Amino acid sequence: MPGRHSRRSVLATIAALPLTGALSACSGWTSGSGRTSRNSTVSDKGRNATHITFWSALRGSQEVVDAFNRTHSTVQVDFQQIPTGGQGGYAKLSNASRADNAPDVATIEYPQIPGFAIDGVTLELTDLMSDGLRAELLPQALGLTTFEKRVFSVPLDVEPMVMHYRTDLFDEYGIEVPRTWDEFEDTARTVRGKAPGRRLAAFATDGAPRFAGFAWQAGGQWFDTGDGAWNVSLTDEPSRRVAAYWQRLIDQDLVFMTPVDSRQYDAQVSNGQVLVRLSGAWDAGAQMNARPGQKGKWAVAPLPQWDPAGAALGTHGGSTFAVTRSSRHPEAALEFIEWQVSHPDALRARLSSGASSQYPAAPGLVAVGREAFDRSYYSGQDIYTLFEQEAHKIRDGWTWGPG
Amino acid sequence: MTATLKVMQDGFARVSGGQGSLLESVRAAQQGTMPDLRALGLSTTEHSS
Repeated sequence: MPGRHSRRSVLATIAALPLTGALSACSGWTSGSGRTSRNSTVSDKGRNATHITFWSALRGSQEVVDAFNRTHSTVQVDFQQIPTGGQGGYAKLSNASRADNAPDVATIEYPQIPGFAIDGVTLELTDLMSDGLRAELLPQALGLTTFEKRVFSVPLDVEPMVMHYRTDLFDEYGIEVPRTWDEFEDTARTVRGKAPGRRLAAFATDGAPRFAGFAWQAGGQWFDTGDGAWNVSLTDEPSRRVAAYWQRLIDQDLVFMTPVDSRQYDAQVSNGQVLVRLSGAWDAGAQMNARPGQKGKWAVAPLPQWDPAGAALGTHGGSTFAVTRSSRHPEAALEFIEWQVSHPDALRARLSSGASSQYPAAPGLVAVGREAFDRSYYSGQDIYTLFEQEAHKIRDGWTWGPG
Repeated sequence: MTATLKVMQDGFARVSGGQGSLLESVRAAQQGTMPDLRALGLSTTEHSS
């Protein structure tokens, strides 16, 4: 049922904020040509190069920055590794923005973009992004950073939800990879029956974004911005169906209930108490980094479906790069961002860290990922081809909300 | 989404302690979101069930 309306529009708060003087002061800016022009003050590397600051919690960022700095002379990046958003990274960014000393470039996950845009942390990029950059990005990904045709961040990766599973334990218990959620429930029952100390999976009690991904897959639409308002519907039919499904598994003690960001969960995965992780493509790299001793014991499969004939997916994770309103060099910041999200050397550098399996938002980079990713942990499985197949199933039209 | 997701997760944590349900957690997240959006001066509509 429609609720109360307030008097301001979807992006009223954003619209009320003027662009900073920093942007208007950019003497060398051009857009629409596919590449940025240089600030007139830029010349030699180091001595007169434009220095920009970059904060990120993403794995492999130092390697990416090093590669950029080696190959660019007019822009140099000073990188600072910060905690993840939930562990203080977002609070740090908000505080810095209020003090007008936020970095030029910040990493923001998709769900937080509306909030940071409304709070005035991010610079609107609509008129700054080149057509060439737009064309390089998966439309579904760019759609997640665009509100009322206004772009507030540039997608780096878009992470279809997949099923990471223990091949050795599946073999030991004689179970097949479940293709549907009904089969997943049956498999969970089998695992509990054969190994009472183990469960097929854990329901993440700190995993609201993961739950959102499940609802997204099922056809949920928590927010939309039609009719000039934020329409909120977290309890729509698909979301209720997802809640009822997991509640049933919990009530039957077929899954653990564990905060994923905890030592308890780490132990459950490390000890083989949990056979499956339902998460974004990125989690393949995180697993490699966290548990090198489990090399050869994991594979990746598609997420179970409600209806295999109408396969759909949500995402879990994924990051974007925003230029902040504190930036005094937005053109240089966007040049760095464009390189990060679209240049093959950037993805190669990130994957060289051995801790990333990001699925790029630029489809043109998928082949680079396929080639550069070390497949030995996954017994040679071509997980990037799987990710590519799954990315096509991401349901278009999902919108993250403010609040 | 940070506040919305936090409310939802608080509910999930209670479910793990034997209190409430996942659906109640989701409902609570929506109920907690609406005042925040209005406080930001945003136009909103709410669909609930």
